[in-house]
Amino acid sequence: MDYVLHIGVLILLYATLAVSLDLVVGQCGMLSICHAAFFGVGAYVCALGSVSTTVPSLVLWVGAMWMAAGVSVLVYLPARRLRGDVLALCTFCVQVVVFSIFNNWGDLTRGPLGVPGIPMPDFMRDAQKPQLVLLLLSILVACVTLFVVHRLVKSPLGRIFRGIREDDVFALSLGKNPIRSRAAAFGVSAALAALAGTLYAHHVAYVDPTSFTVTESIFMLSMVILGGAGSLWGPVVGAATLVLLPEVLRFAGLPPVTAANVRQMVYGLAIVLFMLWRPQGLIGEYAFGREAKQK
Amino acid sequence: MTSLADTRSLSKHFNGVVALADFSCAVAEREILGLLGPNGAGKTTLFNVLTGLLAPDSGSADFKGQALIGRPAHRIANMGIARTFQNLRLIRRITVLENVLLCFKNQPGENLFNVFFRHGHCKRHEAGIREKARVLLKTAGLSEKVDDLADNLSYGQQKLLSIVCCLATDADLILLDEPIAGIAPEMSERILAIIADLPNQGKSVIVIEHDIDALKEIAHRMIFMDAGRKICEGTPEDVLNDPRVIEAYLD
Amino acid sequence: MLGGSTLMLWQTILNALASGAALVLLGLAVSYGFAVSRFISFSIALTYVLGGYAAWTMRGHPVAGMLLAMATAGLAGAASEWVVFRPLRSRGSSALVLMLASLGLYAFGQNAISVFAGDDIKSIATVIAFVSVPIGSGQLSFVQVLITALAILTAVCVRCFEERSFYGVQARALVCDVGLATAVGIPVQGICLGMAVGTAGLSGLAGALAGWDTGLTPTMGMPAFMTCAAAVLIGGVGSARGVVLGALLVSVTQQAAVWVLGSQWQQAVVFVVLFVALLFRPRGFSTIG
Repeated sequence: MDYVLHIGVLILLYATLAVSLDLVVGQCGMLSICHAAFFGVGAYVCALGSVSTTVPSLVLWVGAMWMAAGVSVLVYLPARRLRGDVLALCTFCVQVVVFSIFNNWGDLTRGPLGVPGIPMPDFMRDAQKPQLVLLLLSILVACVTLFVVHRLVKSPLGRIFRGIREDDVFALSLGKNPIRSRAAAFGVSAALAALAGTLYAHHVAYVDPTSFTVTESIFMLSMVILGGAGSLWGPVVGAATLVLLPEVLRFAGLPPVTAANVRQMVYGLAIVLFMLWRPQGLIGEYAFGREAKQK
Repeated sequence: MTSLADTRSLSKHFNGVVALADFSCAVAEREILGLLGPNGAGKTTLFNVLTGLLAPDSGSADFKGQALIGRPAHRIANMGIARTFQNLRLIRRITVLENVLLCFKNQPGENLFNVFFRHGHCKRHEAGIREKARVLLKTAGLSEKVDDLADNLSYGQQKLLSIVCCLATDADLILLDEPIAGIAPEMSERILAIIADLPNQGKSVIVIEHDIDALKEIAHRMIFMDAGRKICEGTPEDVLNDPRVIEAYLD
Repeated sequence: MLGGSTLMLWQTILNALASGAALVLLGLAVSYGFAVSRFISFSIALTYVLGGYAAWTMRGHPVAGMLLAMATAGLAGAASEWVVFRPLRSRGSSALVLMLASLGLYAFGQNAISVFAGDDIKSIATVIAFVSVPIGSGQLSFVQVLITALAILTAVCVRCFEERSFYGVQARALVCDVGLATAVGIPVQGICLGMAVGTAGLSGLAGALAGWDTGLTPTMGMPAFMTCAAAVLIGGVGSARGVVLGALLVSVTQQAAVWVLGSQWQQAVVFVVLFVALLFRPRGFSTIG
């Protein structure tokens, strides 16, 4: 039962991460390989705050979201004139640098040892079945994320996203500011990832840098690609599929270490195959500008 | 008549190729100014400079008394200038209606805060512009295509759509870059009729066109450009009978 | 006292030169790979590691090992080009799609190596690799000297190739801007394939040599590749001189970072440098003369 709960929470958290990533990747057409970094910011702020201070959990969560949003806008602004694969490489750099900070700034983050003993959120410490409450919280967070992204996508701002995804110059000629719009998408996306991070910290009770690597970012990206970029439920489908897959592999009897590698082989292969045959994923709408863009 | 926009001595060159050379012109309110000249004469370059996509080497340009040069492109658009592009820019992966909706200015729903905290206000505004968009599309004759992807329209319909988009911006000055190039006569007529009516709606237009017969029907004034320079200017009769223009077209 | 720190400085300089040379070797492959394909491809990170492991299978025989490394890597490069990138390109895929595909390929390949060879560090060097070669008052290992010599040789050869050979000029100028190149009669597919094989083979050699120098792990491709990407983007894509300049700069920055901040920050510093380099070269791949 605990195992099922655990998988449930994982699927919900990764769904949150995938949907928030799709805001940037599918709606705005920007490839971001640093989503795990914002996930980590959320997790670490929550972890360190819960363990070392008496700041209320809700305040920590909101603080984590603001911090992630701030970091994302801070790194986006210098890179605002970059596009496509060059911008993606920049996000790659951000990911590695943030990981390095998690791993090496021992005084702040306790380095590779990680932060153990993270308690449950303060408002539910007396709960009878904390894991169940956490599952409910995860459902709530996932729903909030879906709501936020859905509202954005349907709004005129979302329309601007779809416009600048395809043609910046046209958007400029209409008086839209592509840079501000992209920064907004990036910020909201990072904040939602951080929120998932806070729940993750409470759920696994121990946070260390290895959960927030480039590999994790690629994993989240492959969920978006598999499920389908540019749609609301595509990333959810992708998240569920890719979280359940290793469990299937486990039942197939693979030793754990090999299973991890085989899992990543599958993600990698999935990305390649989908790029070749179906870049818009299973139920997605955006094909990563597969047609040559107008310049 | 006061001038709505004017340029003074604009110059621009690319790696030794002269695109604009000491070019000055003015467009008045409620006027259609035709711009003609051979390919490479600098017409599109002029549009790019006016809309802030390109910085000139020297010279100045004003719109409603405010300087254009040095201002970012999106701010210039918000001052009231709209344009179409020679290579037809549209957002192909969204519907015709969405393309038009994108063009309206000052939508509260484009602001992140408003999207979540002033939802009712945004919804009301959205309903309003949807109505206006449908009316514009109906007037242009694109009602049946409203929910089609812009990519699925014929070339002529896409050109028509890009003009509807300019109308949706409620701009005072509209720059049209070859609005009827490469499309069938029936659609051309429709588009020309729309353009001809724009001064009645209080707008001014600068039109680049190669089709001289079409241009002289609608333009109040014309300018002939060659190699970045203004060669002559005046009413269509004056310009088209000017010996230098005739010579250029006979070459 | 003064003598001691001069000695240390000289050794640091030697180390910087040696690591710079390693960067040049892989950097040449990365640079020409980028210039020709016009997108950031992670496939070189993969062929680098593949070459290293191929050499491992012949670990008693250095020369045979290096040749096998080049052949295996070259083959892998050709296969990637043929099966993945060419079809994608012919469908008009954007640079983003190509890059994503190469990232997927890398993830697939690197983990395949982990599965078949294990994650432990493999050493493939024979004793000769670690023989100290005294240079002035400092020293480098034989492997490091070999890498430096090969780097210089390769850089010179590439420079001749890019200046003199018609193939090189064609490749640099128009390749993979498919429409224009085809219209002018350049055999685009052939050149893309040829360059894919060449750059992959070179990266395989670099991987084998790195294996000799520091041992092999399946994940060694990505950090090496990114450091070279930094060097290449700083120095300028598509020219041997650019690679050398960039490699020197990055290598010196790395050594300085180790000195000032400690070696654990080395990677972060390189990526900050890369980030800044990307800001100043927004187009990334304007080929340099």
